[in-house]
This record gives sequence, C-alpha cells and structure tokens, in this order.
Amino acid sequence: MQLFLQALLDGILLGGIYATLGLGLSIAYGIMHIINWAAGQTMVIGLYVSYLLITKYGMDPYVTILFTFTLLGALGFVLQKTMINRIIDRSGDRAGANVLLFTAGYGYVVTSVLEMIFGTLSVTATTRYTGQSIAIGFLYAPLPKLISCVIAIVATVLIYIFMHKSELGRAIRATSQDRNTAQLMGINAKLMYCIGFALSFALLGLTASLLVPYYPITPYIGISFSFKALIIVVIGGEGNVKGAFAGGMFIALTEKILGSLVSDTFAQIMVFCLFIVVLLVRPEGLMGKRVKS
Amino acid sequence: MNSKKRFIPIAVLLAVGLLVPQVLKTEFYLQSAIYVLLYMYWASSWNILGGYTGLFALGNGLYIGIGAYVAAVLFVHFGVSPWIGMIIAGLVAGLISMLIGYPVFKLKGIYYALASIALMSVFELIFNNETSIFGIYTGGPNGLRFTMTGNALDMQFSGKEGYYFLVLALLIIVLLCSDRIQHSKMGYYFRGIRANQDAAASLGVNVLRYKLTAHFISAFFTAIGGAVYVTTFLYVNAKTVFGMELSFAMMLFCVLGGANTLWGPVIGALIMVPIQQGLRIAAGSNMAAMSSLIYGVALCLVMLFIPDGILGTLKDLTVRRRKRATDPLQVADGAANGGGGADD
Repeated sequence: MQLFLQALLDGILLGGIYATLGLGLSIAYGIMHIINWAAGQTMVIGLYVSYLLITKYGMDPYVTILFTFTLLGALGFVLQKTMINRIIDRSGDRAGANVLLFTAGYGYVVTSVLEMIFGTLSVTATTRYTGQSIAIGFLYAPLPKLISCVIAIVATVLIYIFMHKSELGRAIRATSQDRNTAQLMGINAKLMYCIGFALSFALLGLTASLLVPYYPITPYIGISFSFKALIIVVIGGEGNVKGAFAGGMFIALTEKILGSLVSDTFAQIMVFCLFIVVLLVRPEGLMGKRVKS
Repeated sequence: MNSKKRFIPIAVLLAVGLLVPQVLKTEFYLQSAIYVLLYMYWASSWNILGGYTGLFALGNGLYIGIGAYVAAVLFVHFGVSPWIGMIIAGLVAGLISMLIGYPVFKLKGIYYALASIALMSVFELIFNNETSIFGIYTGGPNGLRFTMTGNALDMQFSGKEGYYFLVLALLIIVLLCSDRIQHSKMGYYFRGIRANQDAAASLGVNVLRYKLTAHFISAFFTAIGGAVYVTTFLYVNAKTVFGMELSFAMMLFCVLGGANTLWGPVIGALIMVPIQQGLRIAAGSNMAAMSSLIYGVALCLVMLFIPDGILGTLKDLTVRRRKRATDPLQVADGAANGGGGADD
C-alpha cells in the first residue's frame, strides 16, 4: 500500500511537469494543426541554458525561468515567422507532414549542435534544493520536485486563464477554430501563428527550468521527451489546456504506478500501447470534443 | 516512354554498379559503396509505401528490425542459411505489416506516422529488454551474434565484394519491381490513394486492399535489406535495427530525391550517404554529431525550399516551362494550385 501511495505521489509530482511539456506542444498543434516533432529537443536547449545560468552565475533554478521562457519564446517566434509560416503556405494539405519533417530536421540540428558544444557526458545542476525532501506521513516528496510541480500547476492555470479570458487568447483560439473567419474579423492569423508557436516554445523553456534541479542532462534526452509530449497531447486531445493537463497526469501516473508495481519497461510499453489504442479508437483524444464532419 | 527504353537507365545503373568494385579497391570505400546501395534499396522500398501510396510511414525501421531478427534467429538457432532466412524474414515482415496495416488503415497523415513510429518503439523496448522472446534467445541489450562459418552458402564472404554484388542485385530487383508497379493498374490505384483516399474509394478502388498490398511489398523488401544488413556485421542489436535513425534516413533520402518517382530514392541516397561517409573521415571523433547535423540541415532545407524533392521540383519546373510556352494563363493557375505532387 505504501509503495502504491508513494508511486501515486511521484506520479502527481511528475504529472505537473508533463502537463507543461504537453502544453508546449499542444498550443502550436491546436492553432495550426501541425506537430512540432522537436518539443523535447527544444526543451533540452532550455535545460542547458538554465544549467549554465545556475553553475556560472549561481542563479536560483526557478529564477532561470525568466530567461528560458523569454529566450525560447523568441526562438519560437523567429522560427515560425521566418520558416514554418512559409512551409505552411506552400504545402497545402501536406502541411502537417512537411512541418513535422522540418521540425524533425531542426531537432537533429539542435541535438548535434548541443553535442558539439557540451559533449556527450551527463551533467546535473547542484542547487540549494538538491537532496532535500519533505516527509508527508510515511511518504517522501523531494523538495525540488514538489516546488516544480506547484509552479507547473500554477503556470497551467495561468495559461488557461490567458487562453480563455484575454483578448489575445481569444484571438488565438478563434484562429485555431476557423482561420478564414478569424481573418475576416480582423485577426492577423499569421501573427497569431507566431505568437502561438512562441508561447509553445516559451512553455518548453519553463518546463526545462522546472526539470533542471533534479534531472540529469545529456544532449540526447530530447527525443524521448518529444515522444512523451506527443503521447500526452494525443491522449489529452489537441489544443486544449485541460486536455494537456489531464494527459500529462494520466501518463505520469501510468508510468510511475506500473513502473513501481511491474517494471519501468513494462510501463513504457503500456504507455505506447495505450497511445496506439487511443489513436485508433478516439483520435480526438480522451478529453477532446468529437467533431462531426 | 515505350517499355524497352524504360529499362535503359536501370541497365546503366547495373553496368556502373558492376564496374565500381574495379575502381574502389580499399575496404573502406567498398563498404561506403555498400551503404550507398543499401540506402538506395531501403529508400526505394520506403517509396512504395511512403511515396506511391502516400502513407507517411515514419516507423518503417520496424521491418528492418523484424527482418534482421528473423534471419538472425533462424541462422543462429536453427541453422537456416540467411539466403533462405532473408526470404522468410521478408514474408514474416510482410505478414506482420498486413496485421498492423489492417487496424491503422483509416488513420491519415500524421496520425498514421505516429502510430507506425509508436509500434516501432514498442518493438525496440521489447527486444532491447527481454533476453528471450517466445522462449527463443535474442540477447536483449547484448544483441545476438552470428556464428562464423565463412561459408558463402551462409552468406558469409571473405571480402566485401560478395556483399556489394548482393546488395546491388537487391537494388536492381527493387527498382524493376517499382517500375513494374508504376506502370501497372495497381500503381495507379496507389497514386489514387495518395492523391485523395476518399475520392479513390468513391471511384471503386478498394483502399484497404491496396494499402495492405503496399504495406506487404514495402515491408517485404525492407526486411530483406535488414536481414542482409545484419549478416554483413554478423551481429544484430535492437537499438540499431529498430532505432529511429534508420527509419528517418530512408525516409529522408526518398523525400530529398523525390518521393513518388522511381529515381528519387536513388538520387537522394547517392547525394547523402557519400557526404555522411566523407564527414566520417573528416570529422573524426565528432562524427556522430556531424552526420546527424547533416541529416537535420538537409531535412530542413528540403522542406523549406523543395518539399517535392529534387526530381519532383525538376519535373514541376519542366511542366511549368512547357505550359508557359503554350498558354501563359495556365502558369498562374498552376502556381495558385500549389503544384500538387510530382508525377512520373
């Protein structure tokens, strides 16, 4: 029982991070119906930026959010503005596949450049939170995981409020629902694409800063996070904040609970199988709305 | 083109291919040439599913892996020569691809890609973590080593030439087969599905049946390549054969050269593999990073500037030039429609 409850707690703590990771993919996916294959690799850029700030300047890991959020946000904006918009315009109904391949290529570039700069060895940031943990009854919650999870949940709520209450958020959602009508209402769809992609990347930066206090970094961890983000988004349902949160929690809990009861490999295999089943049975996601065509 | 002229380029390729080992004497160059041919072969196999039929099969490495393991297990545990093993491997992969193709056939575009890559990852996880599958030892993370016999009957040659000619023969076969498909009714059905699956279905094309056929052919050839690939190394390992790298490589070469054309995959591999092999000498220790950097940059550039690939774009240009000569109005019209896909 204790084992199960500990796994449950671990799952929830990880789920918060998965939610922001999923959001980092989901927003772009929702607006443009394109998949960024390199969400994980992008996050790894954030990890290294954050790591450098911590080790070189002794910055608090959670203060680095300011830098990773803005830096990756800017990168996302530029990528969308200069390249991805162009691909979407030119590819017609193959836009989804072409952007996926483009981002896959970009992911390769990111990984190999990071490898050339930082080498292949794994590094972990040492912060003042390292090694501290809080006992809740007979359960343990490592302090950095707890703080990260709380920040992740706050960020998810803020994004939800932004998307639903602010004028800009409404414009973004309008573009995602019907680009042409939105444009007729005076919304600059291309600008919304850029803002959406920037926001996606910024959230990946945030996720990186939340992971950095306790996660060992190598240039290669990106691809597994990319895949995880995709699974979260497909299971949660594209483009909605609640879906990404539910998907993130669901996957994290599945991983941790099955991992502690059976084995990590079994948990991974089950996550993939679950993903395939959801794709086949409910491609709009567990939380997504079924659209009749 | 009339039917006999069509085969001239293939004959030329065969002739050049036969001459190459006379020029490239060192082991390294011959090994590089084997890679070039093998990737041409794999990219052409991918083209049948990803190009002609237009299914975005990102996880086709699955069949490399299945082919590799079937041939390895048959040889190591049952003493079946890889010459027979590779055919069995092809058939097994073909059957599995149909079993997979049946449930996923309704998925389109990226959803199909995601399903196919997820399946490949499941296989990778299983083969990399379980040391035996169905009670047969496959080595898990240690991989499976072939027994050395040095016997040509076991597909083990003393020099590299043997493997070279074997892969060359496979390439010629897959090209002849692709050419046959292109000019058959089935090929037109494949392209119909690529252009618009629903429209093809409404015109009476049995979409499920032709998708399964495309799966079978593509998986069959891909798996034979996988079987030969591991036999040259006398070693099979799940991380490599089920890995993303090989899947992405064959897709990239095909897309770069021009998917949905006979020669696109050949040209793509002919450009990329020597660059990659060249960097292998030049970059030394940074080799792994350099070669994936080149893949990445190539993929980005192709998607930005020539999403139809080299041959696709060239064909598009010639069509436009011809149209401009006859009717200037049609050019604007064609440009507005976005060019569509390449067609042979």
